[in-house]
Amino acid sequence: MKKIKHIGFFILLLGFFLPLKAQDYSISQLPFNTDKYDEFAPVYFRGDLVFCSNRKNSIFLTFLDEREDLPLYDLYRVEEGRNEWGKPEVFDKAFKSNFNVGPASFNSTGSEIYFTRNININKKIGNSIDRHNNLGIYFSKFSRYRGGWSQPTPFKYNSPDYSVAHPSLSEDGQSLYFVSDMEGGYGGTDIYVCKLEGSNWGQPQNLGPQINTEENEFFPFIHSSGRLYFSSDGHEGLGRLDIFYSEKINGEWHKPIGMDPPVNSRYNDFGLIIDAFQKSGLYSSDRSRMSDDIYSFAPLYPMFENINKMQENDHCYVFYEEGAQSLDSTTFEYQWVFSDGTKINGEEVEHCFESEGDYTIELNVIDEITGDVYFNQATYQLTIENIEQVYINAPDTVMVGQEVKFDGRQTNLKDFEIARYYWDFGDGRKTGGIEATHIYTAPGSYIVQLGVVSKPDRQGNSEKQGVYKNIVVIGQGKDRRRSD
Amino acid sequence: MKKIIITSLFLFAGLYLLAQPVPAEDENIPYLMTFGPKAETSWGDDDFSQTFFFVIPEEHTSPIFIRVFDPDVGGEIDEINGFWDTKISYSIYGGTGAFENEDAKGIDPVGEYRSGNMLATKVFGENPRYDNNWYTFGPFNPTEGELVKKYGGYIFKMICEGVEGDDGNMYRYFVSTSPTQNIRIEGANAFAYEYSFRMHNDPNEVSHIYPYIDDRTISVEQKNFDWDSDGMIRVVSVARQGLLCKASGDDVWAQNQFKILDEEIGTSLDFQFIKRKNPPVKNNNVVISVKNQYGELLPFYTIPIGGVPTYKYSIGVKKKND
Repeated sequence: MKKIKHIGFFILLLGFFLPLKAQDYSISQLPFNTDKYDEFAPVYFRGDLVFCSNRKNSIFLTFLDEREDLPLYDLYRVEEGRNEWGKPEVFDKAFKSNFNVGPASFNSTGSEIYFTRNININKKIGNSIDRHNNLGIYFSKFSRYRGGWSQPTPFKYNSPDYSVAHPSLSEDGQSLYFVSDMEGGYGGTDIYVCKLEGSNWGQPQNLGPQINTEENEFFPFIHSSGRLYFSSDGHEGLGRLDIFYSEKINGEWHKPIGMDPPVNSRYNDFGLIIDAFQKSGLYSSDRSRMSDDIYSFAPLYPMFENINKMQENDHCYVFYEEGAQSLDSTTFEYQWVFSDGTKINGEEVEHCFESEGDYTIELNVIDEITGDVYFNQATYQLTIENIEQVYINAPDTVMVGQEVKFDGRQTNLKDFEIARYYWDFGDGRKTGGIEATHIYTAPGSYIVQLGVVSKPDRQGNSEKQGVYKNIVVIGQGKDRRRSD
Repeated sequence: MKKIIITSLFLFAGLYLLAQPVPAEDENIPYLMTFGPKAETSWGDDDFSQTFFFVIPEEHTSPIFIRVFDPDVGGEIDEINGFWDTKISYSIYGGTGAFENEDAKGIDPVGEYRSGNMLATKVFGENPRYDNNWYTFGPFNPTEGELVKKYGGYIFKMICEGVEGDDGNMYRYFVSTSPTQNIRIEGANAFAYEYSFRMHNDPNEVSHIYPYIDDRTISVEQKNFDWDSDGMIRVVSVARQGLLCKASGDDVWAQNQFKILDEEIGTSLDFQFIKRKNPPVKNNNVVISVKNQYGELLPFYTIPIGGVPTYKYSIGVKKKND
């Protein structure tokens, strides 16, 4: 039986070098992290933050992990002040036990909590590698009348045969996402969802192979928009656990997309939560190589003023013999030889070049009367330059669910050394990098914006340029990516 | 009447020229042509007379010789009509009026077209000695020609006329410094106001004549005779890719006018005589002259002024969506 590796991740994988990518987020290690102990899996709670930690919370009594001689995990709460964080305190003594208490999820009002805990709390102590003490999800409700949390109630699908953990309750409270290594999955731990049916949770539904892999998926976080964030070491990422997101299109999850660096790294990155606007949030990582810590992230998306509509580069030209008089009544045939390998016969011909560059056009003349061929009667050197502008290379029309590639490589700006690219896909989602991939989840007309920022000059000043382009997203049809 | 002039070209493009065979290499014309007066014009000669003008540069002081190739009427080159019974005269004129007399510059052998002083004359019939061989007139002192300052030298006039018979005489000239060899004269040239010549039999051969367009020319009229509908006549210039002209049929004239382009002033036109491939036409003779808008004949220089005109192709480019 597969076991969840539990809430501490000490996966020692060999690191590897990653290609550099633009830093699209600023990240910050939160000040209440400790070097020795783990802090991870934060959740929002009534304006504060609740997270997991195995920090020592009492100088007199601390339950220790038998194997690693570290305190067990508990939930902590820390107040987020205007300018600084408060001191973390045990979330609530009602949940404190001599076993691991782990990642939690609250309902939208903060009156209900779903949290992870060892199932068998009758043992003296529990630890993460206890094969006989699986993890389960527990529910508790806050009572203003009683002034505290109710006695935790086990989740309907807790089992001594497998673990159920990492709950994430949807904003409407109708769906509970969690991970489990129960039988019937795709391998490792998978993400499941239960729908609320009346007052009971329905049967767990595996999210399917688009989300779950042969490896492990952890820490689901279902955003109010319906987007699912989770961590996985099975999807292609930067290394070890990375954070991905996906949404349902036509009832099916689209291919997960990894968060850009520096949120993801070659270390374990997991337990992400994000604000309602999906701009900034918190996540956990062991990139400090000492312990798991909580980081905040915020987008580094500058404002671009004076954005112009992008003009398509037109590499199409008409070629003609400019000296020919209309009174000429004789017949000559022209053969136009282009240095891109094209040959076209005709008095006046059109030719579209693939890209910018220097081209040579030669004119061969065929005397239709005598049959003589006169080679290279005229030559023209044509230099084609792209329009000096930021350039978005992307299709004009895409399908809902289609994985669309956006490329800024054809940007042509003179005396402008681009330091960073910023994409705004027009649906509230932004990212960075010279290229980006995006999936639209709803039909409509979107304005895609690409802004670029130059490297700073000696005075530290940078310039900004940007363009926008309209993209039509068609709603009909299936998820093309899946049918490819 | 046909007239040819050899002239120095110091007044023209400043080219370094040599007297040359007439017809010249660039013309690619096999022979000049004059028929006996009893021939039908349908054989290709409209008036049984052809005049050439040769101009010797004023600076040239040594004797000159005017040589005629195949001057007789008989043998392999000439065109027989039944049997050889034709006599052809060659007369060379110099002195005052040889060129300047207006009748000398016409295209018809009328009036005082034999103006000037006759310097030499000879009549040839069938004569194997001169068949496919050279006969030499001269020596002539260059000053025996008519000094025409406009042309920078002394002009000699050569009139070839049919005297008797109905056969066709095919011949060429060469103005030489030697009586026995064809040695070119530096700075000389030749021109004619009407050209009567034999076409190649090979349909792949293209013959040329090069009328000079002076700054008075606004439009021109070309007129050709007895082309036998043997292909087409095309005009090429430095600015004209190829204008098709009306070509005559058998024993008839054809003419058309066209405007001169600014770029063509001070250059020569290239009248190309392009034979049709099928069915091939042999022994075709043609006559052509070109006039300006005043009715003045334009000279055909055997060495085209400004060189052989070549149309300069130029590639124009514009954006497709402009």
